[in-house]
Amino acid sequence: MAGTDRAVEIELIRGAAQAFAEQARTDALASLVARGPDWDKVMDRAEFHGTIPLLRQSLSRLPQAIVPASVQQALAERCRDIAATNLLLTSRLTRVCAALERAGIRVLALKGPTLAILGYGELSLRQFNDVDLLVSPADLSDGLETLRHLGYEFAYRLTPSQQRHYARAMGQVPLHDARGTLVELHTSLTDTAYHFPLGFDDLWSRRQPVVLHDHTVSSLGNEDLLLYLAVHGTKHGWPCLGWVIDLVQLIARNGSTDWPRLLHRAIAMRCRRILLLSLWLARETLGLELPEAITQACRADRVALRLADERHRRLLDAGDGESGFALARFHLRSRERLRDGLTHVWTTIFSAHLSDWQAINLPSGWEFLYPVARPLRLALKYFRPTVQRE
Amino acid sequence: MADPDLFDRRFVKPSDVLVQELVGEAVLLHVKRGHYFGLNEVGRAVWKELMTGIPLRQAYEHLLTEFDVPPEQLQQDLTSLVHDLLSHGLLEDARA
Repeated sequence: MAGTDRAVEIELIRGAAQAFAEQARTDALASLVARGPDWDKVMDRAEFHGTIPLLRQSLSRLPQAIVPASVQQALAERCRDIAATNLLLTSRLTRVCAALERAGIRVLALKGPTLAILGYGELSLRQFNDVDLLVSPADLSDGLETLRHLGYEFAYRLTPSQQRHYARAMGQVPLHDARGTLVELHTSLTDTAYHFPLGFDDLWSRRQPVVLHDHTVSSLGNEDLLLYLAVHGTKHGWPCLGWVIDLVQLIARNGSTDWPRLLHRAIAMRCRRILLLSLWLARETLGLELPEAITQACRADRVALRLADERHRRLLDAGDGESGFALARFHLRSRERLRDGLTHVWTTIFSAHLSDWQAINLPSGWEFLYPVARPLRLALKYFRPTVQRE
Repeated sequence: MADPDLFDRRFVKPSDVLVQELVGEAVLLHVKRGHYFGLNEVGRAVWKELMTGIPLRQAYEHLLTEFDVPPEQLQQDLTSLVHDLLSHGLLEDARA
Protein backbone atom coordinates (compact mmCIF):
# COMPACT_ATOMS: atom_id res chain seq x y z
CA MET A 1 0.00 0.00 0.00
CA ALA A 2 1.32 3.47 -0.89
CA GLY A 3 2.59 5.50 2.05
CA THR A 4 2.93 9.25 1.75
CA ASP A 5 1.63 11.52 -1.03
CA ARG A 6 -1.67 10.47 -2.42
CA ALA A 7 -1.84 10.33 -6.21
CA VAL A 8 -3.51 13.36 -7.80
CA GLU A 9 -5.60 11.00 -9.94
CA ILE A 10 -7.50 9.50 -7.00
CA GLU A 11 -7.79 12.90 -5.33
CA LEU A 12 -9.37 14.19 -8.53
CA ILE A 13 -11.91 11.36 -8.49
CA ARG A 14 -12.71 12.04 -4.86
CA GLY A 15 -12.85 15.79 -5.57
CA ALA A 16 -15.30 15.21 -8.41
CA ALA A 17 -17.54 13.19 -6.10
CA GLN A 18 -17.44 15.92 -3.46
CA ALA A 19 -18.11 18.61 -6.06
CA PHE A 20 -21.12 16.66 -7.29
CA ALA A 21 -22.51 16.13 -3.80
CA GLU A 22 -22.08 19.72 -2.72
CA GLN A 23 -22.71 21.39 -6.08
CA ALA A 24 -19.64 23.40 -5.16
CA ARG A 25 -15.89 23.00 -4.62
CA THR A 26 -15.29 23.51 -8.31
CA ASP A 27 -12.27 25.64 -7.45
CA ALA A 28 -10.75 22.74 -5.53
CA LEU A 29 -11.48 20.46 -8.47
CA ALA A 30 -9.98 22.95 -10.90
CA SER A 31 -6.81 23.03 -8.80
CA LEU A 32 -6.52 19.27 -9.04
CA VAL A 33 -6.97 19.41 -12.82
CA ALA A 34 -4.30 22.10 -13.01
CA ARG A 35 -1.78 19.68 -11.44
CA GLY A 36 -1.76 17.78 -14.72
CA PRO A 37 -3.02 14.32 -13.80
CA ASP A 38 -2.39 11.25 -15.91
CA TRP A 39 -5.82 11.13 -17.52
CA ASP A 40 -5.49 7.48 -18.52
CA LYS A 41 -5.05 6.66 -14.84
CA VAL A 42 -7.96 8.92 -13.92
CA MET A 43 -10.25 7.12 -16.37
CA ASP A 44 -9.02 3.72 -15.23
CA ARG A 45 -9.53 4.52 -11.52
CA ALA A 46 -12.90 6.19 -12.11
CA GLU A 47 -14.03 3.07 -13.99
CA PHE A 48 -12.88 0.86 -11.10
CA HIS A 49 -14.64 3.02 -8.52
CA GLY A 50 -17.80 3.33 -10.61
CA THR A 51 -17.66 7.12 -10.77
CA ILE A 52 -17.33 7.91 -14.48
CA PRO A 53 -20.71 9.73 -14.70
CA LEU A 54 -20.00 11.85 -11.61
CA LEU A 55 -16.53 12.66 -12.91
CA ARG A 56 -17.97 13.89 -16.18
CA GLN A 57 -20.76 15.80 -14.47
CA SER A 58 -18.34 17.62 -12.17
CA LEU A 59 -15.72 18.32 -14.84
CA SER A 60 -18.43 19.76 -17.11
CA ARG A 61 -18.86 22.61 -14.59
CA LEU A 62 -15.26 23.71 -15.02
CA PRO A 63 -14.05 26.01 -17.81
CA GLN A 64 -13.89 23.57 -20.70
CA ALA A 65 -10.46 24.68 -21.83
CA ILE A 66 -8.74 23.20 -18.76
CA VAL A 67 -9.85 19.63 -19.46
CA PRO A 68 -8.24 18.12 -22.60
CA ALA A 69 -10.73 17.71 -25.45
CA SER A 70 -9.73 14.06 -25.87
CA VAL A 71 -10.63 13.39 -22.22
CA GLN A 72 -13.98 15.15 -22.57
CA GLN A 73 -14.73 13.05 -25.65
CA ALA A 74 -13.70 9.80 -23.96
CA LEU A 75 -15.87 10.62 -20.95
CA ALA A 76 -18.81 11.54 -23.17
CA GLU A 77 -18.55 8.25 -25.08
CA ARG A 78 -18.29 6.20 -21.92
CA CYS A 79 -21.24 8.02 -20.35
CA ARG A 80 -23.35 7.28 -23.42
CA ASP A 81 -22.49 3.58 -23.05
CA ILE A 82 -23.34 3.65 -19.34
CA ALA A 83 -26.62 5.46 -19.99
CA ALA A 84 -27.63 2.92 -22.63
CA THR A 85 -26.71 -0.01 -20.37
CA ASN A 86 -28.65 1.52 -17.50
CA LEU A 87 -31.71 2.04 -19.70
CA LEU A 88 -31.56 -1.56 -20.91
CA LEU A 89 -31.20 -3.00 -17.41
CA THR A 90 -34.02 -0.78 -16.18
CA SER A 91 -36.33 -2.06 -18.90
CA ARG A 92 -35.38 -5.64 -17.95
CA LEU A 93 -36.07 -4.90 -14.30
CA THR A 94 -39.53 -3.42 -14.92
CA ARG A 95 -40.43 -6.32 -17.22
CA VAL A 96 -39.35 -8.93 -14.66
CA CYS A 97 -41.08 -7.11 -11.79
CA ALA A 98 -44.31 -6.88 -13.78
CA ALA A 99 -44.19 -10.61 -14.54
CA LEU A 100 -43.53 -11.51 -10.91
CA GLU A 101 -46.37 -9.29 -9.73
CA ARG A 102 -48.77 -10.84 -12.25
CA ALA A 103 -47.79 -14.21 -10.77
CA GLY A 104 -48.79 -12.91 -7.34
CA ILE A 105 -45.18 -12.66 -6.11
CA ARG A 106 -44.12 -9.73 -3.97
CA VAL A 107 -40.80 -8.32 -5.17
CA LEU A 108 -38.46 -5.59 -3.96
CA ALA A 109 -35.87 -4.06 -6.26
CA LEU A 110 -32.43 -3.66 -4.69
CA LYS A 111 -29.68 -1.19 -5.66
CA GLY A 112 -29.29 -0.73 -9.43
CA PRO A 113 -31.87 1.58 -11.02
CA THR A 114 -33.88 2.17 -7.85
CA LEU A 115 -30.82 3.30 -5.92
CA ALA A 116 -29.89 5.53 -8.86
CA ILE A 117 -33.27 7.28 -8.58
CA LEU A 118 -33.37 7.37 -4.76
CA GLY A 119 -29.78 8.53 -4.37
CA TYR A 120 -29.13 10.59 -7.49
CA GLY A 121 -32.53 11.52 -8.90
CA GLU A 122 -31.86 9.99 -12.30
CA LEU A 123 -30.65 6.81 -13.93
CA SER A 124 -27.50 8.01 -15.67
CA LEU A 125 -25.36 9.08 -12.71
CA ARG A 126 -24.72 5.64 -11.23
CA GLN A 127 -22.99 2.67 -12.81
CA PHE A 128 -24.58 -0.74 -12.43
CA ASN A 129 -24.39 -3.95 -14.45
CA ASP A 130 -27.08 -6.29 -13.20
CA VAL A 131 -30.57 -6.48 -11.74
CA ASP A 132 -31.05 -7.45 -8.08
CA LEU A 133 -34.49 -8.45 -6.84
CA LEU A 134 -35.61 -9.71 -3.43
CA VAL A 135 -38.52 -12.12 -2.96
CA SER A 136 -39.79 -14.06 0.01
CA PRO A 137 -38.06 -17.47 0.41
CA ALA A 138 -41.50 -19.08 0.08
CA ASP A 139 -41.84 -17.52 -3.39
CA LEU A 140 -38.44 -18.55 -4.73
CA SER A 141 -39.66 -21.60 -6.63
CA ASP A 142 -42.53 -19.73 -8.32
CA GLY A 143 -40.22 -16.79 -8.94
CA LEU A 144 -37.69 -18.97 -10.73
CA GLU A 145 -40.46 -20.51 -12.82
CA THR A 146 -41.69 -17.03 -13.80
CA LEU A 147 -38.19 -16.02 -14.82
CA ARG A 148 -37.71 -19.24 -16.80
CA HIS A 149 -40.78 -18.32 -18.84
CA LEU A 150 -39.08 -14.99 -19.58
CA GLY A 151 -35.99 -16.82 -20.85
CA TYR A 152 -33.74 -16.68 -17.78
CA GLU A 153 -31.60 -19.66 -16.76
CA PHE A 154 -29.11 -20.34 -13.99
CA ALA A 155 -26.04 -18.28 -14.83
CA TYR A 156 -23.38 -20.88 -14.02
CA ARG A 157 -22.79 -24.45 -15.10
CA LEU A 158 -23.73 -26.27 -11.90
CA THR A 159 -25.55 -29.49 -11.20
CA PRO A 160 -29.10 -29.20 -9.78
CA SER A 161 -27.72 -30.21 -6.37
CA GLN A 162 -25.06 -27.49 -6.56
CA GLN A 163 -27.65 -24.94 -7.68
CA ARG A 164 -29.79 -25.73 -4.63
CA HIS A 165 -26.78 -25.50 -2.34
CA TYR A 166 -25.76 -22.20 -3.94
CA ALA A 167 -29.25 -20.73 -3.46
CA ARG A 168 -29.36 -21.82 0.20
CA ALA A 169 -25.87 -20.64 1.09
CA MET A 170 -25.76 -17.40 -0.89
CA GLY A 171 -29.38 -16.41 -0.38
CA GLN A 172 -29.72 -15.67 -4.08
CA VAL A 173 -29.95 -17.31 -7.49
CA PRO A 174 -28.03 -15.74 -10.39
CA LEU A 175 -29.83 -16.01 -13.74
CA HIS A 176 -29.14 -14.74 -17.21
CA ASP A 177 -31.02 -14.49 -20.49
CA ALA A 178 -29.80 -15.17 -24.00
CA ARG A 179 -28.37 -11.65 -24.24
CA GLY A 180 -26.39 -12.07 -21.04
CA THR A 181 -28.49 -9.80 -18.81
CA LEU A 182 -27.78 -10.88 -15.24
CA VAL A 183 -30.73 -10.99 -12.84
CA GLU A 184 -30.02 -12.05 -9.26
CA LEU A 185 -33.09 -13.28 -7.43
CA HIS A 186 -32.40 -12.90 -3.71
CA THR A 187 -34.22 -14.48 -0.78
CA SER A 188 -32.11 -12.64 1.79
CA LEU A 189 -30.09 -9.44 1.74
CA THR A 190 -26.81 -11.24 2.47
CA ASP A 191 -25.58 -14.80 2.32
CA THR A 192 -26.96 -16.86 5.18
CA ALA A 193 -23.71 -16.99 7.19
CA TYR A 194 -23.51 -13.18 7.43
CA HIS A 195 -25.69 -12.04 10.31
CA PHE A 196 -28.15 -9.38 9.14
CA PRO A 197 -31.64 -10.33 10.33
CA LEU A 198 -33.97 -8.32 8.14
CA GLY A 199 -36.75 -10.59 6.90
CA PHE A 200 -38.77 -10.07 3.74
CA ASP A 201 -42.10 -9.37 5.45
CA ASP A 202 -40.56 -6.60 7.58
CA LEU A 203 -38.87 -5.08 4.54
CA TRP A 204 -42.10 -5.29 2.54
CA SER A 205 -44.03 -3.45 5.26
CA ARG A 206 -41.62 -0.50 4.98
CA ARG A 207 -41.21 -0.51 1.18
CA GLN A 208 -41.36 2.62 -0.95
CA PRO A 209 -42.43 3.08 -4.57
CA VAL A 210 -39.89 4.13 -7.19
CA VAL A 211 -40.96 5.28 -10.66
CA LEU A 212 -38.83 3.94 -13.50
CA HIS A 213 -39.93 5.14 -16.96
CA ASP A 214 -43.67 5.20 -16.18
CA HIS A 215 -43.45 1.90 -14.28
CA THR A 216 -43.68 1.83 -10.49
CA VAL A 217 -41.65 -0.80 -8.65
CA SER A 218 -41.21 -1.37 -4.92
CA SER A 219 -37.87 -0.87 -3.22
CA LEU A 220 -36.53 -0.86 0.32
CA GLY A 221 -37.55 1.95 2.63
CA ASN A 222 -34.81 4.52 3.15
CA GLU A 223 -33.75 3.33 6.59
CA ASP A 224 -33.60 -0.31 5.50
CA LEU A 225 -31.69 0.75 2.40
CA LEU A 226 -29.20 2.71 4.46
CA LEU A 227 -28.56 -0.27 6.74
CA TYR A 228 -28.32 -2.57 3.74
CA LEU A 229 -25.75 -0.35 2.01
CA ALA A 230 -23.66 -0.25 5.20
CA VAL A 231 -23.80 -4.03 5.57
CA HIS A 232 -23.22 -4.72 1.88
CA GLY A 233 -20.26 -2.36 1.69
CA THR A 234 -18.70 -3.71 4.87
CA LYS A 235 -19.20 -7.32 3.79
CA HIS A 236 -17.12 -6.63 0.69
CA GLY A 237 -14.56 -4.50 2.50
CA TRP A 238 -15.63 -1.21 0.91
CA PRO A 239 -13.61 -1.69 -2.28
CA CYS A 240 -15.22 1.09 -4.35
CA LEU A 241 -15.60 4.79 -3.79
CA GLY A 242 -18.89 4.61 -5.70
CA TRP A 243 -20.43 2.55 -2.90
CA VAL A 244 -19.47 5.20 -0.33
CA ILE A 245 -20.94 7.86 -2.59
CA ASP A 246 -24.19 5.85 -2.73
CA LEU A 247 -24.41 6.05 1.05
CA VAL A 248 -23.70 9.77 1.13
CA GLN A 249 -26.16 10.51 -1.68
CA LEU A 250 -28.96 8.52 -0.06
CA ILE A 251 -28.49 10.35 3.23
CA ALA A 252 -28.30 13.72 1.50
CA ARG A 253 -31.44 13.24 -0.60
CA ASN A 254 -33.39 11.86 2.35
CA GLY A 255 -32.97 14.73 4.76
CA SER A 256 -35.21 13.20 7.43
CA THR A 257 -33.16 10.24 8.65
CA ASP A 258 -34.22 9.27 12.16
CA TRP A 259 -30.69 8.74 13.47
CA PRO A 260 -31.55 7.55 17.00
CA ARG A 261 -33.94 4.97 15.60
CA LEU A 262 -31.44 3.88 12.95
CA LEU A 263 -28.74 3.36 15.57
CA HIS A 264 -31.17 1.55 17.85
CA ARG A 265 -32.13 -0.82 15.03
CA ALA A 266 -28.49 -1.45 14.18
CA ILE A 267 -27.74 -2.27 17.83
CA ALA A 268 -30.70 -4.68 17.96
CA MET A 269 -29.40 -6.46 14.85
CA ARG A 270 -25.81 -6.56 16.14
CA CYS A 271 -24.71 -4.32 13.25
CA ARG A 272 -23.85 -1.21 15.25
CA ARG A 273 -20.16 -1.27 14.47
CA ILE A 274 -20.88 -1.91 10.79
CA LEU A 275 -23.14 1.15 10.67
CA LEU A 276 -20.72 3.36 12.60
CA LEU A 277 -17.62 2.41 10.60
CA SER A 278 -19.56 2.94 7.35
CA LEU A 279 -20.76 6.40 8.39
CA TRP A 280 -17.30 7.39 9.65
CA LEU A 281 -15.76 6.17 6.42
CA ALA A 282 -18.20 8.38 4.49
CA ARG A 283 -17.30 11.29 6.77
CA GLU A 284 -13.55 10.84 6.36
CA THR A 285 -13.64 10.17 2.64
CA LEU A 286 -16.34 12.50 1.36
CA GLY A 287 -17.02 14.91 4.22
CA LEU A 288 -20.43 13.52 5.17
CA GLU A 289 -21.82 15.63 8.00
CA LEU A 290 -23.04 13.49 10.86
CA PRO A 291 -25.32 14.53 13.73
CA GLU A 292 -23.57 15.00 17.05
CA ALA A 293 -25.06 11.86 18.61
CA ILE A 294 -23.75 9.67 15.79
CA THR A 295 -20.35 11.36 15.89
CA GLN A 296 -20.14 10.65 19.61
CA ALA A 297 -21.20 7.03 19.08
CA CYS A 298 -18.48 6.64 16.43
CA ARG A 299 -15.81 8.20 18.65
CA ALA A 300 -16.84 5.89 21.50
CA ASP A 301 -16.05 2.85 19.36
CA ARG A 302 -12.32 3.02 18.70
CA VAL A 303 -12.38 -0.20 16.71
CA ALA A 304 -14.97 1.29 14.35
CA LEU A 305 -12.79 4.38 13.91
CA ARG A 306 -9.69 2.28 13.19
CA LEU A 307 -11.56 0.12 10.70
CA ALA A 308 -12.99 3.18 8.95
CA ASP A 309 -9.55 4.73 8.76
CA GLU A 310 -8.12 1.50 7.36
CA ARG A 311 -10.81 1.34 4.68
CA HIS A 312 -10.40 5.05 3.91
CA ARG A 313 -6.68 4.61 3.26
CA ARG A 314 -7.28 1.47 1.22
CA LEU A 315 -9.86 3.25 -0.95
CA LEU A 316 -7.61 6.15 -1.78
CA ASP A 317 -4.18 4.54 -1.98
CA ALA A 318 -3.80 2.91 -5.36
CA GLY A 319 -2.45 -0.30 -3.97
CA ASP A 320 -2.99 -3.90 -4.92
CA GLY A 321 -6.03 -5.95 -4.07
CA GLU A 322 -6.60 -7.31 -0.58
CA SER A 323 -5.72 -10.81 0.56
CA GLY A 324 -8.47 -13.08 1.81
CA PHE A 325 -6.72 -13.20 5.16
CA ALA A 326 -6.80 -9.40 5.57
CA LEU A 327 -10.47 -9.29 4.58
CA ALA A 328 -11.29 -12.08 7.05
CA ARG A 329 -9.54 -10.11 9.81
CA PHE A 330 -11.57 -7.03 8.87
CA HIS A 331 -14.78 -9.07 9.05
CA LEU A 332 -13.95 -10.41 12.50
CA ARG A 333 -13.24 -6.93 13.85
CA SER A 334 -16.30 -5.35 12.21
CA ARG A 335 -18.73 -7.34 14.38
CA GLU A 336 -19.35 -6.32 17.98
CA ARG A 337 -20.16 -9.95 18.71
CA LEU A 338 -17.22 -12.24 17.97
CA ARG A 339 -19.48 -15.19 17.17
CA ASP A 340 -21.05 -13.36 14.22
CA GLY A 341 -17.65 -12.71 12.70
CA LEU A 342 -16.43 -16.23 13.36
CA THR A 343 -19.53 -17.80 11.79
CA HIS A 344 -18.98 -15.84 8.60
CA VAL A 345 -15.26 -16.55 8.42
CA TRP A 346 -15.76 -20.25 9.26
CA THR A 347 -18.36 -20.57 6.51
CA THR A 348 -16.11 -18.73 4.09
CA ILE A 349 -13.32 -21.22 4.76
CA PHE A 350 -15.23 -24.50 4.96
CA SER A 351 -18.40 -24.18 2.87
CA ALA A 352 -18.16 -24.95 -0.81
CA HIS A 353 -18.64 -21.94 -3.08
CA LEU A 354 -19.02 -21.41 -6.80
CA SER A 355 -15.26 -21.19 -7.28
CA ASP A 356 -14.83 -24.63 -5.68
CA TRP A 357 -17.41 -26.30 -7.88
CA GLN A 358 -15.87 -24.71 -10.94
CA ALA A 359 -12.32 -25.64 -9.93
CA ILE A 360 -13.02 -29.19 -8.72
CA ASN A 361 -16.00 -31.04 -10.19
CA LEU A 362 -16.66 -33.85 -7.70
CA PRO A 363 -19.18 -36.45 -8.81
CA SER A 364 -22.61 -36.55 -7.23
CA GLY A 365 -22.48 -38.11 -3.78
CA TRP A 366 -18.91 -36.95 -3.13
CA GLU A 367 -19.77 -33.30 -2.25
CA PHE A 368 -18.83 -34.02 1.40
CA LEU A 369 -15.18 -33.66 0.31
CA TYR A 370 -15.58 -29.96 -0.59
CA PRO A 371 -15.20 -28.79 3.07
CA VAL A 372 -11.77 -30.47 2.95
CA ALA A 373 -10.75 -29.37 -0.53
CA ARG A 374 -11.84 -25.76 -0.09
CA PRO A 375 -9.53 -24.76 2.80
CA LEU A 376 -6.60 -26.38 1.00
CA ARG A 377 -7.40 -24.39 -2.13
CA LEU A 378 -7.89 -21.18 -0.11
CA ALA A 379 -4.59 -21.67 1.71
CA LEU A 380 -2.85 -21.10 -1.62
CA LYS A 381 -4.65 -17.76 -1.96
CA TYR A 382 -4.22 -16.34 1.55
CA PHE A 383 -1.01 -14.57 0.74
CA ARG A 384 -2.06 -13.54 -2.72
CA PRO A 385 -4.06 -10.31 -3.01
CA THR A 386 -7.54 -10.55 -4.48
CA VAL A 387 -9.79 -7.74 -5.54
CA GLN A 388 -13.06 -8.02 -3.63
CA ARG A 389 -15.71 -6.45 -5.78
CA GLU A 390 -19.18 -7.47 -6.74
CA MET B 1 -38.06 23.19 -48.64
CA ALA B 2 -36.60 19.72 -48.97
CA ASP B 3 -39.18 16.94 -48.52
CA PRO B 4 -42.16 19.19 -47.62
CA ASP B 5 -44.30 16.19 -46.76
CA LEU B 6 -41.83 15.20 -44.03
CA PHE B 7 -42.00 18.69 -42.57
CA ASP B 8 -45.82 18.52 -42.29
CA ARG B 9 -45.69 15.37 -40.24
CA ARG B 10 -45.81 14.87 -36.50
CA PHE B 11 -43.87 12.16 -34.72
CA VAL B 12 -44.01 10.15 -31.52
CA LYS B 13 -41.64 8.02 -29.51
CA PRO B 14 -42.30 4.27 -29.98
CA SER B 15 -43.09 2.39 -26.78
CA ASP B 16 -39.92 0.30 -27.19
CA VAL B 17 -37.70 3.36 -27.00
CA LEU B 18 -36.27 4.78 -23.79
CA VAL B 19 -34.58 8.15 -23.50
CA GLN B 20 -31.94 9.42 -21.10
CA GLU B 21 -30.66 12.98 -21.05
CA LEU B 22 -26.99 13.55 -20.31
CA VAL B 23 -24.72 16.57 -20.16
CA GLY B 24 -25.42 18.43 -23.39
CA GLU B 25 -26.79 15.37 -25.18
CA ALA B 26 -29.22 12.47 -24.99
CA VAL B 27 -29.25 8.71 -25.54
CA LEU B 28 -32.12 6.87 -27.22
CA LEU B 29 -32.26 3.12 -26.64
CA HIS B 30 -34.36 0.71 -28.67
CA VAL B 31 -34.99 -1.94 -26.03
CA LYS B 32 -35.96 -4.81 -28.33
CA ARG B 33 -33.23 -4.23 -30.90
CA GLY B 34 -30.69 -3.50 -28.19
CA HIS B 35 -28.99 -0.60 -29.95
CA TYR B 36 -28.72 3.02 -28.92
CA PHE B 37 -28.38 6.34 -30.68
CA GLY B 38 -26.66 9.42 -29.32
CA LEU B 39 -28.07 12.89 -29.92
CA ASN B 40 -25.81 15.91 -29.60
CA GLU B 41 -27.04 19.22 -28.23
CA VAL B 42 -28.88 20.17 -31.41
CA GLY B 43 -30.28 16.67 -31.86
CA ARG B 44 -31.54 16.70 -28.32
CA ALA B 45 -33.25 20.04 -28.93
CA VAL B 46 -34.87 18.58 -32.09
CA TRP B 47 -36.08 15.58 -30.14
CA LYS B 48 -37.59 17.71 -27.39
CA GLU B 49 -39.42 19.83 -29.96
CA LEU B 50 -40.80 16.77 -31.73
CA MET B 51 -41.97 15.21 -28.47
CA THR B 52 -44.27 18.18 -27.87
CA GLY B 53 -46.34 16.88 -30.79
CA ILE B 54 -45.81 19.81 -33.13
CA PRO B 55 -45.15 19.24 -36.86
CA LEU B 56 -41.52 19.15 -37.97
CA ARG B 57 -42.00 22.44 -39.80
CA GLN B 58 -42.86 24.21 -36.55
CA ALA B 59 -39.93 22.55 -34.78
CA TYR B 60 -37.67 23.80 -37.57
CA GLU B 61 -38.92 27.37 -37.08
CA HIS B 62 -38.31 27.20 -33.32
CA LEU B 63 -34.81 25.81 -33.81
CA LEU B 64 -33.91 28.54 -36.33
CA THR B 65 -34.37 31.09 -33.57
CA GLU B 66 -32.41 28.98 -31.05
CA PHE B 67 -29.34 28.01 -33.08
CA ASP B 68 -27.12 30.08 -35.31
CA VAL B 69 -27.34 27.75 -38.33
CA PRO B 70 -28.07 28.60 -41.99
CA PRO B 71 -31.70 27.65 -42.78
CA GLU B 72 -30.75 25.28 -45.62
CA GLN B 73 -28.23 23.53 -43.38
CA LEU B 74 -30.81 23.10 -40.63
CA GLN B 75 -33.35 21.69 -43.11
CA GLN B 76 -30.85 19.14 -44.37
CA ASP B 77 -29.75 18.19 -40.88
CA LEU B 78 -33.34 17.80 -39.69
CA THR B 79 -34.25 15.71 -42.73
CA SER B 80 -31.23 13.48 -42.24
CA LEU B 81 -31.79 13.10 -38.50
CA VAL B 82 -35.50 12.28 -38.77
CA HIS B 83 -34.86 9.74 -41.53
CA ASP B 84 -32.13 8.13 -39.38
CA LEU B 85 -34.41 7.93 -36.36
CA LEU B 86 -37.28 6.51 -38.42
CA SER B 87 -35.07 3.88 -40.05
CA HIS B 88 -33.74 2.72 -36.68
CA GLY B 89 -37.22 2.52 -35.17
CA LEU B 90 -36.49 5.32 -32.70
CA LEU B 91 -39.24 7.56 -34.04
CA GLU B 92 -42.72 6.84 -35.40
CA ASP B 93 -45.15 8.78 -37.48
CA ALA B 94 -47.95 10.00 -35.20
CA ARG B 95 -50.49 8.90 -37.83
CA ALA B 96 -49.31 5.25 -37.62
